[in-house]
Amino acid sequence: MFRLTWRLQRNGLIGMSAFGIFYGILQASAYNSAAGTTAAARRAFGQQMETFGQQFSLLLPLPHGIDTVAGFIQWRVYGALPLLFGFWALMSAAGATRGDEERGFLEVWFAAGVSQSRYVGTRFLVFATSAAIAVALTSGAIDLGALGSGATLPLSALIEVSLDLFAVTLTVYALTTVVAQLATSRGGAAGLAGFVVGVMFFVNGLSRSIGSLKPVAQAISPFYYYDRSMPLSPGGRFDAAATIALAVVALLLTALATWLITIRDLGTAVITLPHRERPATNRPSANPLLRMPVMALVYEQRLGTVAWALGSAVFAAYLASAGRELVDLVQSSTGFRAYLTIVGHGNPYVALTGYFWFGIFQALLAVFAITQVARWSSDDNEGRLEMVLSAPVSRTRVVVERAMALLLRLGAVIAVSSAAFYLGAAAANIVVDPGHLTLASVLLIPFALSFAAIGAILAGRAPRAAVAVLTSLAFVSFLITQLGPLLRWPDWALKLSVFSLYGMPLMGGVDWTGLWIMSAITVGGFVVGVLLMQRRDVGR
Amino acid sequence: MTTAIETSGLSKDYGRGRGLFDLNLQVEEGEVLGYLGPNGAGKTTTIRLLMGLIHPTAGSARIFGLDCQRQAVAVKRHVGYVPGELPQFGGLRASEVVAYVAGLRGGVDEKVVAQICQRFNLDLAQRFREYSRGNKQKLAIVLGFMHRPRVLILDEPTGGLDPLNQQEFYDMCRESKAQGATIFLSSHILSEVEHISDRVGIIRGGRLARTARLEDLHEIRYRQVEIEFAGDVPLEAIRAATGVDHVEADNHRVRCVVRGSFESLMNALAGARVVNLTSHEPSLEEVFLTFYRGDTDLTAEETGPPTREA
Repeated sequence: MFRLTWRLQRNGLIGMSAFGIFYGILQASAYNSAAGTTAAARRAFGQQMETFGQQFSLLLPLPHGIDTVAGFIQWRVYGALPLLFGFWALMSAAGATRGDEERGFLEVWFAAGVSQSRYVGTRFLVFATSAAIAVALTSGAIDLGALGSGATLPLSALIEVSLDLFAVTLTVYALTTVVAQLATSRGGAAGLAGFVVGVMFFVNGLSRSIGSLKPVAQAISPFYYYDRSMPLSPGGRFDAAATIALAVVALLLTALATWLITIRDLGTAVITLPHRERPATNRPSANPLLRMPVMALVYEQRLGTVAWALGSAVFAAYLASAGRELVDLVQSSTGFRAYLTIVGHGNPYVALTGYFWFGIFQALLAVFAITQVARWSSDDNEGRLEMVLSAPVSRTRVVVERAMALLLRLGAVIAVSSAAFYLGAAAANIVVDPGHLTLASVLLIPFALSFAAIGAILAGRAPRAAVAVLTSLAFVSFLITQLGPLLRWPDWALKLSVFSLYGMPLMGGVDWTGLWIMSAITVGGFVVGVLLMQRRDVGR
Repeated sequence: MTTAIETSGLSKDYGRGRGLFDLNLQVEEGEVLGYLGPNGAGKTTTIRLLMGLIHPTAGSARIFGLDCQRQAVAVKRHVGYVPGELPQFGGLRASEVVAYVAGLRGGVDEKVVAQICQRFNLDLAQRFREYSRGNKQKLAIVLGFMHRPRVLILDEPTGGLDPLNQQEFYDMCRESKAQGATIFLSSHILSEVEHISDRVGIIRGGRLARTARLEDLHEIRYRQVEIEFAGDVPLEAIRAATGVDHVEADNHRVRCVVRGSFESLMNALAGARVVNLTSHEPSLEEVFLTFYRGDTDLTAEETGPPTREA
């Protein structure tokens, strides 16, 4: 059982380890080129970064001791790793629970006498082993990168921060295993868990600047407990109790998942909605949407679209309604004033609230595009594409319909979220210009389509690897926006990131260069996607 | 007669000797071709090439003169396809799946859908994921037959169906044939092929080993014969008889295998006191197994009946 599940986990381990090693070495070795080599230069860099780093408090912990290699690594590298390892844990857990079930593995294993507890326990153990290896390799790479920057990281602190990362990764895995019991498919489990973990992550991120959210983060977010330890930072410490608490929660959640899986039937969720008996029929559905090109695809994914739209809208409304408090905080703190220089002139309430929201929304829409590409890949792997192509439908039409359906879904998610943002801002007495908001919202479409277009190329070339490659590309793209300013990269290099191509249209108008590049990526990507789709073999 | 399906040197090489090689095949309009072969022989590869889902490494396939690759959309207007394994439609109801595929295809008569569902006692109100394997296969049959195609390409279509529904399926195939449809039926179940096929193509190791009319295939059958004598056994005469093989004697009893005519054996028995003679005709299944068990190189039409013992 262990060996079998190990094989299923192996590719994820290899991918995550490779990524962790690359990320660790790159980030840690970047220190000298960014901070300089003299003590004075590093001090200046530290002060500059501590101000600059406040801008990323939603995603990264508040910076401290950046004038040392260890402090920089604690903030920049180990600050971002929970998100990356958490994503891996989430996808692994969704695959290990619902994915195994969809593929019929659970049926076979349970029929062979494997108990539910043994199955969940083995899967957890296999992931824990993988996570331990991936974390160890990543930390080893970070240590090597630090050596490249001329610093030796204290071994004990490196072990402590690795344990902290390991514990939070396990917690996300166990949490997803529990949440997956509420879904009936792998995609549903990943989406639901993504929402739950995302909320936990962002609540913790917001609590770094909004004090009133701290008790909420403390109550619900494992990332809060991860942040408690900063052993690499100068004067920082390792909160063993917080790390142990994370590990204990992971074990308790695994026990809960085991119990939940024993009380439900295979193929069902723990909580099932009341079954509405429908009269038997031998007629096709009269739903006209199913017979319309494009709309059939939109209809098929209607629940996902509604979930995304509502989730984003709630988040947008919340952030906008807290905007006034947030901006007052920024204006009252010298550390946070760097935000004001970034967003430029104009009403700081609109500018800053919009800056925060559209920054988050970009990341969410990138994930949305990736989930769509995942769907395209599964169309191929699960035989739906074969079924479509057995009808008189061209491969070009398949790609065009996919793009059009995504466009409509994106439009719905963005429209609902922007409306919620507008109303939330109005509730906080922040008057957002509807025209500017519409412009900023519309420009999110080419942004998200750019990712999808790259995904169309990947899905046309190698559907099984499409999601992993696109996720890596999105992350690298995100990394460029993080590393670029730090390493003082030229403007053209920053434009390599799709995130930076969007600009700040709510206050700064259209970034025409960025828009043209995004449009070129979108059109070019889907055209290449069509060509690749024409040429490749389809099927399971 | 019009050629419905035609392949010319059709090949798909997956490497390491796997795939389909140099397939030359013609199926006439209104004909039912049973395409037989064990797992991994290349049956599904052939079908996927005909459906334009994969690209050949050499050769071509045409349906009603239309190239299956370059004119794939036009080809599929004529074709109904029943895959061996239906895709996952998750939470959609079967009625929605039918409406969706009907929308892609166009020109589907709802009455035909209703008729097929009635024949198979299939309730379209259920969600796809709630269907049993058999019901999923019935749905695949509905999707393949609902537009009354001129050509039916069926990839092991009765998997998961119970015997009653299998019979219903065979009846539907016969009716489609009677209405002029051409059927390409891939299967590894000989009895299924026997039910409806006019002609059989046997594929082995990616190469077409033989095509024959069903009655010709029956001719390659052998018979297991057991003869009981009251007196002396004319063993040497039996061994010398044409078409008689694997002779085993046990006191007054002789067992042997007879291929083709019994005339020579009867001549050998002339004058002997035969008290009992039984002849057992193996099923096509056993013939098929014999065909595949043989390691002789069986290629193309001219290949004769198997020479190995069953």
